[in-house]
Amino acid sequence: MIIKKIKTTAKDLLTDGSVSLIIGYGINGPGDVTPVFIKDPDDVEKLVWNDQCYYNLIRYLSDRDFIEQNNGSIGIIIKGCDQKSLKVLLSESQVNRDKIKVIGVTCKGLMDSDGNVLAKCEACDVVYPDKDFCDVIIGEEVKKKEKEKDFSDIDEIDSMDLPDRKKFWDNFFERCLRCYACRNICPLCYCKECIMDQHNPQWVLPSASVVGNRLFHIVRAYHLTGRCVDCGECERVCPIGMPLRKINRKIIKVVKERFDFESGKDQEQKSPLTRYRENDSEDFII
Amino acid sequence: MDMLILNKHELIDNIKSLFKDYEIVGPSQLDGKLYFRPVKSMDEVVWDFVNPVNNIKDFFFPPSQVLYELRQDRIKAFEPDTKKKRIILFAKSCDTRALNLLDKLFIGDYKDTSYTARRETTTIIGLSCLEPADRCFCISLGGGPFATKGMDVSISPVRKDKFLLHILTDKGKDIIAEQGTRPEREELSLTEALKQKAEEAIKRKINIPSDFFEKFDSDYWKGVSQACIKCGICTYLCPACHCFDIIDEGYFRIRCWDTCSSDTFTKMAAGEDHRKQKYKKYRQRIYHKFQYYKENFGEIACVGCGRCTTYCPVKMDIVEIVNNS
Amino acid sequence: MRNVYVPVPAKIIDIKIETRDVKTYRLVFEYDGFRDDFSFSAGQFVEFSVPAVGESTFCIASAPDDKGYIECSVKKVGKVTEAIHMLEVDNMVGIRGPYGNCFPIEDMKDKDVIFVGGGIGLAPLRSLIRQVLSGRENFKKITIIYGALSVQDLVYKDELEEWQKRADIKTVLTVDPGGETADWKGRIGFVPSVLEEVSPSGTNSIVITCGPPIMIKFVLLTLDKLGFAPEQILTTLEMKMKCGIGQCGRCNVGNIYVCKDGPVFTYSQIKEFIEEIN
Repeated sequence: MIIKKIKTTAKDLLTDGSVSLIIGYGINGPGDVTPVFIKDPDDVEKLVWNDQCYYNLIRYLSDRDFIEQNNGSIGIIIKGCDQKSLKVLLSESQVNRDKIKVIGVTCKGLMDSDGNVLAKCEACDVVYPDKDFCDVIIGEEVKKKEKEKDFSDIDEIDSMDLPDRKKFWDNFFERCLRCYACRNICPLCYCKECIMDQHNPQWVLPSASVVGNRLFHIVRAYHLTGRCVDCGECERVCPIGMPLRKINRKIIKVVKERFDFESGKDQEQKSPLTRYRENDSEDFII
Repeated sequence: MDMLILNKHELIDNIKSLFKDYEIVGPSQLDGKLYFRPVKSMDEVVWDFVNPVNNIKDFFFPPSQVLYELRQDRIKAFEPDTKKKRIILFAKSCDTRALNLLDKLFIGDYKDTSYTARRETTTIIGLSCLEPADRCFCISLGGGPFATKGMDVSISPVRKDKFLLHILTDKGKDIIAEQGTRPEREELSLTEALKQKAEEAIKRKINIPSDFFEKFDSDYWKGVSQACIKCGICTYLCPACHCFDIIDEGYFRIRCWDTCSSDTFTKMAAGEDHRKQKYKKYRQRIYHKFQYYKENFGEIACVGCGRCTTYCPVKMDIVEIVNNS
Repeated sequence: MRNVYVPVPAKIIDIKIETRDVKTYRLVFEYDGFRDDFSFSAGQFVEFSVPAVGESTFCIASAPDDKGYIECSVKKVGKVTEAIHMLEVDNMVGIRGPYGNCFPIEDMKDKDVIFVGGGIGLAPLRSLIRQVLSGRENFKKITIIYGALSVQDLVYKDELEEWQKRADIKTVLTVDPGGETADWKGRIGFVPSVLEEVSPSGTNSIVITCGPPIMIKFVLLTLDKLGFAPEQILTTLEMKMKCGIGQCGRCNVGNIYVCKDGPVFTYSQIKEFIEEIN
């Protein structure tokens, strides 16, 4: 069984000293799955594995303060989708691969609280994490399905005329609380000081109001261009239910069309916005 | 004060008659989520619900508000437009109790004019909780699904389509017409039975350990705060959290919500920050609620609505964290 | 009911350049009534507004008896202070306050009073020193120990000179090693070590200290060595503040709001939460 293997793997890694910390999934008081941080081999019993393991735990690997406090080797449990963010972080030299042990687990798809498969899981093409990438693989091998990316929901928004599109988004921007959960849960938002927190100069209006909120979400999208792997964590955590994946997938679509690039596939490849090629499309430069 | 028994249609008619003179705020669906927000008719209002995403503090202490305009040659104060009075419909006891907590701060040594004006011109109609959520823990904090503190009128069901109204204040009296019948013993006992059932449904309890204060310096806080991503959800959705920032946007000085979890909260201009580490930030939130507020104002600044646990991106559970401290 | 957040307009009537990054602003309130009624006690602070930039907290550096105007000394460190440094005479700013508690001057009477300041930390002390000096006969020995990074970083140079000339106060100036100039006549050394050399008596005395956190930390150690009890030591805390009236929550430490319950504290009070703010 998967969970049994996760536990024994975690226990072995902690016992033989190859890692000093395991980041995995556990259960909190009221029974929700929550990230757990295990240092004691006897605590591996706290680990769980089920269809509620939403969290992209890679987020903690790009958290400087977290890494500073846990400077030994870290074992981390990942799903195929999480693996993509780790690859982006590696390509951006944000994670020392030698100091982490990647425990990849086959994921059959996550369910929301009503028992529906998450939208991102329906389109999943990485059920089984890469064998040559992970240090340990748990779960049976699933053949990789190369799915044609479906961007019909994005096309739908693109087909709206400008006033309607503005109305669609402003409906959410008006309610955005600027709690920054979307930014803070994102494994790829790791700037030492976010531009939103800088106030000298003040780049973006900091209060929760439609003008500043629009700009915040546009800046967030731009900063994720060629990087976002559509792990969907931002949309999951948004308290007002803003469809942030629609923004992310729009940029994923553009990057795919213009540069034939998909982030998180290969850690050796740099994102198109951080490299130069002679045949780069430049039709947007007037 | 007065108690009345009304049929659902009588109640609806009464509320409908108020739309002319009042702005009505009530629980209403928007894009698949429930919010307290202004409604145009009773059709938009949801009757059976647990806690909406936001809470009613938004209508007294909004996420962002202009305080004044400041220029070289003039200063113009902005006061909230309270010409049209407001009614908040179907507020739950946890949210209304939180207002009493905020009153102590905002109408304390220094009176906050905009908060006070909104408090004075808002009438609150509460609705008892028949089916509390599994994250609720109001009873252990002195509240309850049928509590009425902070309400002007409270509505509790008697049976299907029949309600018991308590008119608790003069403001409440002003909006409820003389009608219906006086409650009979049987009706009161039916409500009492529903109340007991609702109270029994609340299984979660917060138990602040007796040595909570001494635990301040414990490494425990480092451990439990590890998962925290320092976002503002718990504070922004909390009915009792009230920290704010004052900033300039153009010539407008704005007061907007702020959170003790943010990296900028205590960081000074020159860069010093006495609460830089995450566990210190998280610990501050917990101690502010469960220790300092109690010491300063006599009550704990948590009402047990469970929003922080429900909406936490990493599902940190305040009950578990406090109880195990 | 007056909105507590709305400042009153004040005009800058004088700007004095103290050091490369500190300027002292003399402000006069525009409304006649307010100008005459405005009173404060040494140790209190105001919220200082610059239109379209923001608001920042400064202690009042002038003395309560300096009627008709107030003075604030501003060190350029961030957005608001940078904007303040750009202001000129006749510019308007907004002021609200005074806020906070004050130095317990009554408790200081008939005692030796020792002021220990560092850098811009002399600003709140200056208000109190001026007040103490105007009622000199009420106090016993007065000692002022003040130091800065370098000679150029000493603030209120004219007054320092004045104080040095007076026979009824002992004024000891110092600069950090390396900060002296060829003609520097004062001491060279960090404030805590100069304090140890001066070695004031801990009997029937009170110390008021303000300066950078690192200086305060060692001043406290030295005072302990010299036999001062925590109740005899007063300091004024600097912390990020926004509202100034104990509501916005950012200066909350323990059950104390530094803006409302402070900024002046005895060391015995601070001991309760010193771990957290260090």
